Amino acid sequence: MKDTFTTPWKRIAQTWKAFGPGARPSKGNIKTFEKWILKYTRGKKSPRVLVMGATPEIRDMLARHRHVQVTILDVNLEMMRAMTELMRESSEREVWVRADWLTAPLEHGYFDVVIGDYIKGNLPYAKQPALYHNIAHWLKPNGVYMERIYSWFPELRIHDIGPVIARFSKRKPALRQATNLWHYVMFLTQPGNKDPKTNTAFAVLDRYASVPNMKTYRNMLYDLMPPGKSWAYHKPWKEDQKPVTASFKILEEAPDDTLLKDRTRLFVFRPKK
Amino acid sequence: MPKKRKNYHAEPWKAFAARWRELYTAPGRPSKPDIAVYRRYIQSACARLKRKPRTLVLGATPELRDLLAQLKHDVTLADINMEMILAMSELINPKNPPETLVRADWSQTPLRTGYFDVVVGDLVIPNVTPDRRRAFTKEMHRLLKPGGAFVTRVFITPPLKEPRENRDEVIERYAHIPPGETRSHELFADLFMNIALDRRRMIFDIKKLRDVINEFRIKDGVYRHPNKNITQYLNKMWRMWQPMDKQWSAQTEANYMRMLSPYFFVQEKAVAGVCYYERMNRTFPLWYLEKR
Repeated sequence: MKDTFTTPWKRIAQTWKAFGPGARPSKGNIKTFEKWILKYTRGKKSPRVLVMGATPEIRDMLARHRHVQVTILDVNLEMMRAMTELMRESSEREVWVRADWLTAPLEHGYFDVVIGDYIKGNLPYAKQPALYHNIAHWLKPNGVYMERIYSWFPELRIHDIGPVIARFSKRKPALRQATNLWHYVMFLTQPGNKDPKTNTAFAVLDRYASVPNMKTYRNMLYDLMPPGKSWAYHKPWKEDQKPVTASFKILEEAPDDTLLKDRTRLFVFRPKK
Repeated sequence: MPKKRKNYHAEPWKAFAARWRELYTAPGRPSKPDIAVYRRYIQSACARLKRKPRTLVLGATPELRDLLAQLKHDVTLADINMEMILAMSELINPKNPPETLVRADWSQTPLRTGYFDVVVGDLVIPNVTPDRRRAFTKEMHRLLKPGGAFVTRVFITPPLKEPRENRDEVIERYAHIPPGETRSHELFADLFMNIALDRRRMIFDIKKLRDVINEFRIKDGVYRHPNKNITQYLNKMWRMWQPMDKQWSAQTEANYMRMLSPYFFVQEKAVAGVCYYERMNRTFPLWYLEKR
């Protein structure tokens, strides 16, 4: 069976650069993560941080703290290399592990911090408990896990697609506008009872192809986005958090400040005893 | 800003990776007889396992990775150079199942304690800088399960008091033997063993070899010797090892044992190889070490 969760990243890696804050963490998100990392590793001479995935913004922030030992874990070497190209700092000191998050043979009780940006939705629901179980084991007993999570939080709103299309149709199509439009079509206007799929968003764009500029946006996004990619994003937070809270308790949370802020929060978790 | 010190043990591999396919031969890489010994040792180490064996490969040697794929092992690869892993991955059988790849210093990996049944690496110990030897051995010991095996080919330098040959004596021995694909590398290893040791630091420095063959250099990267075979070997040697600044910390057998014996005992040793001179094959034996 074709894996619709991880394989499409190989293509996304090539186009990641076109995205702004939203799919990528904002400066504000990175500041929040940085503040938390410094807080929870205070007094440690050489804390070990594991990055789930290869998010360049997180790695740049960590690289600036020379005392931190960074390990990155991703199943796609293409993604790791492509994301490294987007880094401003050197990745030379990082340890890289190309392995499946569910089977990576990492040491138990080794890391002070594990951090991930939107990693949860990249695994089907059935596999999420095993992921968080692994993360909890890789952490030291007093270690913390941080993640920016997309979910159906109680206060979310579903944006009306009509006004969104009308707004973007008045803007000159540019790559960043196209990816911003994508955030709306893909994540902010779709109803919450189904996992979002790139193909569903393409169908919406096709439907509005006669609206000025929409055909251009659509063509740009067809070039950028992989067909058939899906995310596990259809449950309300009360349900959605279960795979995480089976292994962790929530220590802190903070709001997101990107386009996806209605459906995104940043969390710090600690493994349950 | 202080200039970063180059690691002459690890960094030159980045450039060598690209030349491996064309120029790197036995005894630098494992020959078929070497691989047969590796196979025997690895199979013996995993004979009683009821699950898929887990093996850590140090470095990215394609021959070992193909062997482990044939033996259906679950393979994790560790190397400090991603360039080396990528270049070597071009040379393995494309049908091999995916491996876990780790870019890390062998002496400090984030891998799980006691996870591996076998650690295998071809000529890896001389690539460990002297200050990391203890940490390296300790790390291999940590990663292996109780009774696990560390299988490796080593490069043994003769005891220090044993007389060495000079450049001309070594070259003379290679001038009149039948040429072969591996001869350039055999000559390189022989010259290296006799000439390249910096006794003060106990480091083999390829620069010493570069200096002694300099007499035959007619222009940058081009060598000429009265014997046409030697001319060919020297030019191939330069093409492989340029700019000739790599270092290795090969040791005497007694020193290897001193380094390894707190953590491992020798289960078996074997000499294979395809070198013309048997003495050179004995310089590259294979060891099956068992975790204490």
